[in-house]
Amino acid sequence: MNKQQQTIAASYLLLTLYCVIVSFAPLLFLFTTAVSTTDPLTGEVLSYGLANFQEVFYDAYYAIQIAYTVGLVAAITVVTLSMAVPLTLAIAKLKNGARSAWVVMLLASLALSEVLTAFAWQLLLSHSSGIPGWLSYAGIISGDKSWWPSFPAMFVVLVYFSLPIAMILLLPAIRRLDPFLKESAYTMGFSKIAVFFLILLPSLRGPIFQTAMLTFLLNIGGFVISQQLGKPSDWMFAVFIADFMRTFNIPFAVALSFCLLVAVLLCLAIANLIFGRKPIENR
Amino acid sequence: MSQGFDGISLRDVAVELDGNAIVGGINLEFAPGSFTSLLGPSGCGKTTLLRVLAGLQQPSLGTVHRGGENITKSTPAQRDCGMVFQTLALFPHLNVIDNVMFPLRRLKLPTASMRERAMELLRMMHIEDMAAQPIDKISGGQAQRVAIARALAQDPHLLLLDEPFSALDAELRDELRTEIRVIQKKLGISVVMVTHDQEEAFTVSDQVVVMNAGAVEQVGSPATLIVSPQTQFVAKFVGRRNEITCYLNDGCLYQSETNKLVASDVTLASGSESNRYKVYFAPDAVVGSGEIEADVLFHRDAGGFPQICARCNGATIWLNNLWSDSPETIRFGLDMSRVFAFADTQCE
Repeated sequence: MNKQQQTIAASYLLLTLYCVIVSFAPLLFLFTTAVSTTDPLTGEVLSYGLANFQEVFYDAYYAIQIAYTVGLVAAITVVTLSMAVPLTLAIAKLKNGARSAWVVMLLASLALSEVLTAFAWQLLLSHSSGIPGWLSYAGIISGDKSWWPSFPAMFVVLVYFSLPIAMILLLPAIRRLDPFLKESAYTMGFSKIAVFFLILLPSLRGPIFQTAMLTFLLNIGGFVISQQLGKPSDWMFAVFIADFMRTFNIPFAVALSFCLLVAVLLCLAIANLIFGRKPIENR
Repeated sequence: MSQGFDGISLRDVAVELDGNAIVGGINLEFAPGSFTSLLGPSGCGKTTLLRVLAGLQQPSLGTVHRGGENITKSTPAQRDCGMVFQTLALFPHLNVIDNVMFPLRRLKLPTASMRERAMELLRMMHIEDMAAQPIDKISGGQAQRVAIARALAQDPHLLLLDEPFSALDAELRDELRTEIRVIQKKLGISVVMVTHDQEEAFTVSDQVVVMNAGAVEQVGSPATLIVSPQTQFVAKFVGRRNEITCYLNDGCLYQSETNKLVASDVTLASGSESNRYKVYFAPDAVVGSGEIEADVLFHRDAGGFPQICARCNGATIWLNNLWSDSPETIRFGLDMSRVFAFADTQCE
């Protein structure tokens, strides 16, 4: 084995160790927890079995909740990307100074914690000191109700929270895009809309797909915004997991997490099959 | 294919970007079926002018005409031109044939017709075997051919090339520029090419437009530009001529630093009222005997003929086909029919 092969072998070994320590070991530990039954008072393990998973699938309740959460996060991802792509294209076109200012602003909004963001939006959507109050004062709307908790409020804030992340992820890829692609299509007689859909979007398919995956993964486990701005019927699956954690039914909470994980992996696999194929179509 | 195209003209065209004048006072005509090169150093406004022709850049002043029709406000699509960009701008998500077929999509032709037309163009560019290849899997030369094929797909009357061969090696560049000239002749289309490479411009063009600092210095055939440059810039830029600063005294030109005689009967092209002149001569416009003295820096074989690099009057000059008895100095004269003197306006 020469020196280069030794280096490659060492790299693989380190990578394997890293994966074992960071991913597989905690996962195995959690799985052990999920298949255990513990005494809620002492935390002592009473037995091992699939009782927690049987309870999850006792009826369709949790399956529906998982489907709702996956669907909601998929919708948030689609809306976020639909806004992020044109906005990032617009920012990428700006001059250096203006673009830097936007990037700083996006990064600054990312620096806010999820709790702070949710609280700020609660204020903004409240009747006492937010938009509904101002509109009511101006006579544009009537009534004295706050706009939260509600599904639209929760949805809007989740999109607001995801948008800067998506834009920051898309910006380098968009800036790397050859600016003459658009002009080239204009000389061929294509409109701006056609160029956007036929050239820009397909050219950015890889980065858009990666950003969508990350946005989806970041949101699937979110519960602060969901709990603070949504009604109980709007809450995402992570809220249920957190509730069982609070009541010390940790094995059941972990079993729920595993079910969510499987659903997410299934969704990612399907998305990868549909959208993650090679960009070039050899006909 | 290209009948009915009456040529394009630019009248008093000026372009300003962010308050900076990029080009100004441009009056040019591009005859139907001609090959024109816009030649000049980087930043002189060549590409801006090409973009004005393509309709990608609106002139701040002046008009663009095709035949008698004013097309200044026409969109790029209405101009009936194909363009090859410096970066080629091939669509990365499409393979070779789909790139060439792409302009035809707008015409809503049946797929079979589009494919047939694309294959015809790929055959013309000798890359029909590459049809199914992804864009990122083909070489630079092949990508160039794809870009040209795509620009020709809509059967344009005017083909615009923005430094199309700048990223290629010398051999491939030579091969492709010969090919593009053959295609231009075959199709009878007009071509306007931006380049900073004189050899490229002179080997393929009917007309060369020499530009400098946003203005046209001279327009003419390659032979005209070589034989009779009209401005100091053209004299120096075209043919990579040597430059010596001189002063005029009693009808004779003397080197400004050494006071040695350069020419006694030189015909001054312009600015005879000036006292300081720039004298330009090609490396091969020298004769073995004369009054001009230079310090030899080194000798070299320049591919079949000897060449001397020397220092004369504070400037580095190149002299072809001369031999020096002394290893340190050389004396030479000039073939006065190939020497151009211009008033040194920068020193006025």
